[in-house]
Amino acid sequence: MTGTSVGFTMSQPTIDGWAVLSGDHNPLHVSPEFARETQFGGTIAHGHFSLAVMEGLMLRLVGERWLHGGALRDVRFLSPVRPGGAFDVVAEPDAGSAGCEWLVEVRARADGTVAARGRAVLAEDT
Amino acid sequence: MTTADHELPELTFALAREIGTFGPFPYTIAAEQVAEYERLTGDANELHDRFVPPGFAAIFGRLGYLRRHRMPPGGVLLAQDIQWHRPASVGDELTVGSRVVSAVEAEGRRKLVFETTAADPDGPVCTVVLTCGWPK
Repeated sequence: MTGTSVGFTMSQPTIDGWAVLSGDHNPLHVSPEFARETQFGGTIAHGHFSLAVMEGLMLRLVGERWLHGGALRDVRFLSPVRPGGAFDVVAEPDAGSAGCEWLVEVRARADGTVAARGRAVLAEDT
Repeated sequence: MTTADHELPELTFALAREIGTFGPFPYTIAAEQVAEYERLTGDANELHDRFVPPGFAAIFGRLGYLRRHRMPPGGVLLAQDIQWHRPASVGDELTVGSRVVSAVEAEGRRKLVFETTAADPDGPVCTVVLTCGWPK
């Protein structure tokens, strides 16, 4: 099974919509005035959004089987997903895993900066 | 899920440790929520007609411990694990609950680890483990 990818462009309306859907109204995400004074210098997308698109890519790649034992492991949030940025979600097979493990990343399309990284694992008996 | 976040009490590090176990509470993901999820993420998949998109684990994984509280400003998500055991069907009533599995405070930094489980009447469908930096 080869790697695959999907893409998305982040926007403030998308962040605001995700806040409503998820119930996470942290001002770091939805208040430009608050976020401007933080270490990020502006609003950033929820980490949960990156997780969601990583899960979505794995469902697309593996199919229904992903829901029977699929796991994202040790997902780390390495750089912010900012409004206005374009991103790719990429899953690449781990060469040493007999086809049941992938490296999954959210990467900025402009320069390849990794925003989130984790391992996707599918239990071998599923 | 349109709770006015600012009206909820802050979940401080001390309060999270004191509460320990959050919920469980009933949680249903409706078709309308799935449609909004697809619109926001751009992730349309015909499997979503039958099954809850697995990315919803990112939502209920957090909601498990923040349904009645809000995270103090400055809190950050550091790491997360999501394990799907079985599919969940759109419209089914799940039971969601969380517990604090680790609370560490050292050198002025606080870290909380929560485990959230979503279950249906046949047992767990998804387990989410979140590690968060906690500001106060």
